[in-house]
Amino acid sequence: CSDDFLEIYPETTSSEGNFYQSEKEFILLANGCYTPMRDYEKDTHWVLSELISDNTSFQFNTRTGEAVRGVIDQFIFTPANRAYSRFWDLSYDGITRCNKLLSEIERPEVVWSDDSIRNRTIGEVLFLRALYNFNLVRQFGDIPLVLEPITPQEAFNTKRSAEDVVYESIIADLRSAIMHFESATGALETGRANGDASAALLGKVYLTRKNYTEAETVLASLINEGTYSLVPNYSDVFNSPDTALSEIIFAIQYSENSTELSNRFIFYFAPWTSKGEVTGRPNINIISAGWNQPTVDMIEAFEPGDLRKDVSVKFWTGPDYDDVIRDIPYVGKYNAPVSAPDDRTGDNLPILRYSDVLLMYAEVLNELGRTDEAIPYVEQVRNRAGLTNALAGLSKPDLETLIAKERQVELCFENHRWYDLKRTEKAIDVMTAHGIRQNEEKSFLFNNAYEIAPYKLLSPIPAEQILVNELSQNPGY
Amino acid sequence: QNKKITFTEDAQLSIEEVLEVVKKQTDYNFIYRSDLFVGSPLVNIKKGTVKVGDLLNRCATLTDLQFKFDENGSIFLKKNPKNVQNKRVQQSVTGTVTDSGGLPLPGANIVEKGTTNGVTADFDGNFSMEVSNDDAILVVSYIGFATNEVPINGQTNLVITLTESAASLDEVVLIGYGTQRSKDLTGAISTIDQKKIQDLPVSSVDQQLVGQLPGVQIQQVSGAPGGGTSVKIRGSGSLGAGNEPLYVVDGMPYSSGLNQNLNPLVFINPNNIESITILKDASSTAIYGSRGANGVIMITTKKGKAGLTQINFTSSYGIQQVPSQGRPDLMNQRQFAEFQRDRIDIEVRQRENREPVNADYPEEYRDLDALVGKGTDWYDLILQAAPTQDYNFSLLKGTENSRMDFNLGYFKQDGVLRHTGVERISSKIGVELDLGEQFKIGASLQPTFINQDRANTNQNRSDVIGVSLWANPISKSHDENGNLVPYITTPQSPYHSTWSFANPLFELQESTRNSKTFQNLGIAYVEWDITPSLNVRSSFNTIFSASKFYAYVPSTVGGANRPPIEGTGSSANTRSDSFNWLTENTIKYENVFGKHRINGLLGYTAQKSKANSISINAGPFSNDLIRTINAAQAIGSWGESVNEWSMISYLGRVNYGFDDRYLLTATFRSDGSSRFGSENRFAFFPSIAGAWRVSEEEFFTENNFVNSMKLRVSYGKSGNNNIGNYSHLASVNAGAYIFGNNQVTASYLGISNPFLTWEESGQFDVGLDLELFNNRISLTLDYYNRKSNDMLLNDVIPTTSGFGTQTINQGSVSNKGFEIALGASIIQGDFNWDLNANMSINRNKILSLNDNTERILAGSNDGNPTHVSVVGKPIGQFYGFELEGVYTSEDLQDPSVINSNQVYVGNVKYKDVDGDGIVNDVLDYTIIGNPHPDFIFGFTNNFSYKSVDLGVIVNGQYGGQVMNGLRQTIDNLQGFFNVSEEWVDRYRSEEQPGDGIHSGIPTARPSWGHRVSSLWVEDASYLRIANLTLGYTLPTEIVEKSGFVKGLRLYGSVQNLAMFTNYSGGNPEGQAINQNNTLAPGFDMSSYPLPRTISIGTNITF
Repeated sequence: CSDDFLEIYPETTSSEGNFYQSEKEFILLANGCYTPMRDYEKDTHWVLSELISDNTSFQFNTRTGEAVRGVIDQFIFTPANRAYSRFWDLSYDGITRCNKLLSEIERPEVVWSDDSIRNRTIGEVLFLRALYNFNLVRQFGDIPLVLEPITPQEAFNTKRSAEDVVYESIIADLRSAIMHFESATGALETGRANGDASAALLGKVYLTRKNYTEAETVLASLINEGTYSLVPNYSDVFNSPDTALSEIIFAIQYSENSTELSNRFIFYFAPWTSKGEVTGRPNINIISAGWNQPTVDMIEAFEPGDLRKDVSVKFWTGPDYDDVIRDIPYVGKYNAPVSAPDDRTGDNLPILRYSDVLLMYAEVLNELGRTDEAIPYVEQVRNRAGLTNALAGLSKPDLETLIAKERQVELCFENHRWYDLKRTEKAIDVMTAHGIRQNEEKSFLFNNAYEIAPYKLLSPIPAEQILVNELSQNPGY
Repeated sequence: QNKKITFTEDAQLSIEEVLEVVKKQTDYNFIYRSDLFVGSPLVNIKKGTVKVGDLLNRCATLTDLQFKFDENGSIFLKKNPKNVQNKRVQQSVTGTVTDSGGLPLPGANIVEKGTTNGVTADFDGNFSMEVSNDDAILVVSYIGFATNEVPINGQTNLVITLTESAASLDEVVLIGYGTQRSKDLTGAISTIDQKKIQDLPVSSVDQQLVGQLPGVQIQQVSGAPGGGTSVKIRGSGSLGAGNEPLYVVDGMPYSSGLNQNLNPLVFINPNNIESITILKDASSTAIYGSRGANGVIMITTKKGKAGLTQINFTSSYGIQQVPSQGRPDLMNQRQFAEFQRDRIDIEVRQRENREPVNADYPEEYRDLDALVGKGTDWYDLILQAAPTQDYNFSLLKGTENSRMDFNLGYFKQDGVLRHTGVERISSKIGVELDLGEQFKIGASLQPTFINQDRANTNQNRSDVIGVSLWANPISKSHDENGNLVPYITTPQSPYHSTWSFANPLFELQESTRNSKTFQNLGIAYVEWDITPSLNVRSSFNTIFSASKFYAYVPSTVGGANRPPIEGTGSSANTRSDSFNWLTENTIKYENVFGKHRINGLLGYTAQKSKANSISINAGPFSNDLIRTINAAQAIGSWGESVNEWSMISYLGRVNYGFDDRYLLTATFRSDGSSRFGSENRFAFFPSIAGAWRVSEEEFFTENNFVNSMKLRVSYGKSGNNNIGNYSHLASVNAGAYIFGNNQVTASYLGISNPFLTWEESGQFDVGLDLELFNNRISLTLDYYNRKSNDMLLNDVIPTTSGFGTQTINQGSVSNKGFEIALGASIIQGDFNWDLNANMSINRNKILSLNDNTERILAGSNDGNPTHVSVVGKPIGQFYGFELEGVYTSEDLQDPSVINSNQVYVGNVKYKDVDGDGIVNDVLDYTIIGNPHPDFIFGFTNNFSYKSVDLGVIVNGQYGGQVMNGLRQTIDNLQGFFNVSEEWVDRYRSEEQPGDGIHSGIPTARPSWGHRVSSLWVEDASYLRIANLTLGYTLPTEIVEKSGFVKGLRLYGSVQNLAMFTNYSGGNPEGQAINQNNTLAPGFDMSSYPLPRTISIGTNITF
């Protein structure tokens, strides 16, 4: 009787001991693998992939002083910057959840109503693990590669693996995910990862690795499958109430229902001086907003007549930080009508879109020397944007340049720019030119703003992890 | 024979009369021959309480009687067989027995040592008796006085002086699960005479104990009404499980853990406390097993006594004010304007490449000569002189077979910070009934209601006290019409502006932070004396508590740089209840066999506690008219928590005494707790202690220097189970995600540790108790060495594991220390001077952490740690840059200084600890101070002359440092805030380099002059006159004439009269509420100031 008296389980959470009963629990765990990514996409990933690039900057604020994000825009990176630790920690949180699920799913006592559900669950988790690792390796280079649940003691012994090894694991995960999804055709659900998302991501991984042959195969089959198409109106890709768009291959799902489920993109991105005029919520204080402000470089990248410009970049006319009235640009893609009473918005964030696939495929073909074959795919994307001039006859280098610019304007503010610059080895040139323009234009920048150096292409490993785990730091920091 | 008899007044009674009283107050019956007492002397009784056994033994010494306790409550009286040889008379002696003031002690007992031969002194204190030889020793005793042994040495006329003994050796001391004669104690136990502290005008008993006890450090971390104190007994033995002692109220383990918002002890009306015992060494605390490692504070409330009716009314009223000491000195208007102009100059030069002109400054800063005086004193604005009042009525009554107590108290303390305060309505009723001769039942209820208005203080620079210190002194708090300005927009410039802010007084006035709690402590018990020496007791104790917290911030209250916006009010609501029950079943045995005195205890206890809490944060509210949740537009976040734990314990103790010379105590407790992982469910805590009363030995020659001497040694183990309720389980947490429009549960696993268990601490203690100079001085010395093992560490682990921290049992800490307590009756007579002094030295040292962690970083300032704990040093060292001053042009030429954008003339210069030429955050941090004092001390002087008495309590600490966290703001030259006046001496130019310590306004961005540095660390030594009380007790003659009043006392007192310290902040013991008190101690952050209270009071007994 004393044992019963002393055996107390928490009422507000379940505990692991009696958890793995049926497939239901594994579906819940798979759902849990999405949330760390949702959380970092909400407030951090755009800092490390968009704000850092030439696409965006921020609206100066005389009253908030220095900020975690402002230094990254100005190319001042320090290992102690909390943006890196948040991104790192959430990534490994997500990876740990994936690993835990994969290690438990083989329990024989669990009865699955349908093998499709089981395969879908495994596929989702492999896809997510690959995506977490892909983002990590693109930010930090060599990273600790964790593919199984590890104890804290084991974590102390897990050091950084070479980029190549990490990429091998990403490719293996995505290949395995595709196989599992092939046997999960009956279990589709909007918002969940699927085989096409895995294929699209695999194509992107191969492209990043400059393995054009493999990229061509996987992207071609995705395009030829015919499941996806561009929606006629570019603006419908964003702010659409329809959650199952033919163009979206994978998107992080948000909802206004609660603080946890929502993002607050517009409350970060609106000019802070606009108070409630942009957000439509005058009672929400946005004194720390004004982030991801499209730069002149970005705005000028749109060709005349590009229908995407007015969708992507909006302007608010009013007092700027110095009380001078200006047309202040801000990100227009995430501006669905807000119905929640506080700072919650439900715009989904596209991770993989069909136009991205088309442009990647065109890039692959061009790199393989099949420039003429590539051009129609670029045109497909441009035509939707109202740019109908024929491209036939472009040289390979010209098409390469055009695709790069096309990716910049088509996919702006969707966290591609920095990775594209690094992948195409244009980052140093582009950022140096950008830095010069920024320094000329803005008197309030930090003294050491935009000191561009090659080592800065890799983010610093977060300082705490260096201290705790004695990980090696990227050179230069 | 442990039953107590109470005498309400001094008396001289015949032995027969004494027995009558015993019969009345207890269930004993006496059987004796009617002529037994013919010719027996009278017994002198002083008013007070005495054990039956002691009383009867005293009677026995006057006669040649022997008392035999029978199993069914009867006591047989027998004449001793006469020992004829002993009666061989050789010498007659006469003498007088007096007290230390020379007044005769009529009825004092004089016995020839080793015989039954004795007499009592007559009305003038004179006696005359025959003794066996001229080497005989007289044992002279009188209740309430220390017994004196006087060798005759051939004298025939003696003057024998007895001294009043505060801690008489016959006194009975409360220990865990029982009582013990003070002289039989083997452990390190401190007690405090409640009478000495009862007049202190504070809300809880912990505040009354400040400075009173050796080895007990009580830090007043905040002056907020009803706020908690931090109590540490013999240092910090834990890193992760808290260092607060266990409180036990009337046998119920009550609470442990620091609650800085609401002190759990506020629920115990200090007027209703009868005695306080502090268990310090492991032999005393082991009986509380897994909760005893931080020491135990046992509190007993007042109870009715047989044959006594006492009605008592006390009241006091006081005014509290914040002393001017410790109010920070900030820049005045002109200094501030100059500072702001300098800041704008830098911006203008950098941005526009031109020299600034007067028009660049906001209008308010343009005319320096017009800026005279300090400007708005925002700190003063939010403070007030506040009343405190305390009324208390109590009734204690006992009859032949029932006893009861009743208490009703009202306490109200307004805060010196406006719109804060606490109110307490408390009561207690207790009854005890004798059922027949062997059974006794009793029950009590202690319902208490607390209503507390809080403000956010001790948190960060944005709290009301923080704002009031950095607020712009040129801005005005009231408009021309004298109305309070809700939001202060500071002078604005396109180049640089200070932060705007909500008027702190307006914020206090308009926001609500109210906590209401009802708590009842209920106790019911039954006792059965199976035989006079065997007693069984069962009790059932409960604590029920229900509380409600409501906070509302209306839309009119803005924040730093956040002007108020209509329709943004928000509320936070929490409703909690908890129920904690305990059943204790003990069996006790006590007996004396010749020279062997033995008592034993066995017990079984079970306890369970469950607490529920629901919280809802709602907002925005479209208007501030209706502030209940129904008027909110949305519920932002919500939650429910359920916390439950249970515990089963077996305990036992044996005390053995031989001939009152050799004493031995052994205890054990075995605790099974729901908090421990299934792998380690039961914990066993043994202890053993021995004592040797050296002065009882034959070889110990009688002298007037050392009257009594006892040597104590103990070793034992106790634990700390404060590890959270479900830490050993891997929880499956529920989050949410959405697919399309379907919201789903998103689960994830927490980290588990099935081996998680209690912390264990082993403590060795050696002590010496001395009574010196005719018992006028008592001295207690203790040395201890406590080693805590298997410490709970919130271990920082690589986040590649998926988690940032894990709670583990590893690491050890040692606390070694020395305590000294001195009591002295310095002057006796009409004029009396008593002194109690104590001093404690504790040395804390981390012996090991764990295999992976070299250091534990703690605290937070600007995202960086402020404290570090490393092996070989005390816990929680201050951690930051070492300030070297200001970069000079010579430094810039130094090749070892690598040029970075922070290296320029006039900028702050921190030490490059790792010598790599670059100063880096964290990597170049070093230990810059130690928060632990070298020693702490307290002394209490009590003077009295006839009816007038004066008490002075002084306490303090020497050594140890404090870090003023607000310096991140008020030493911050970025120009957003007002700063300390010392920055007038800042670097301004090569021509005006300042004092070489204070750097210039930063010209590089980002700037970092506001990092934690050695400048922030200050000496925390202080000496405080904690209390001064002057009282007048109406002489008995006058009182008696009134007919119904039995006693009347009037007093005036000043609490926190003065503090002497070099610390520039308000409170060297201040602690931020959001910083870990163990790992990040001594971090003072916008602390609620400690008030000085001047009060008057009366104490009337009917």
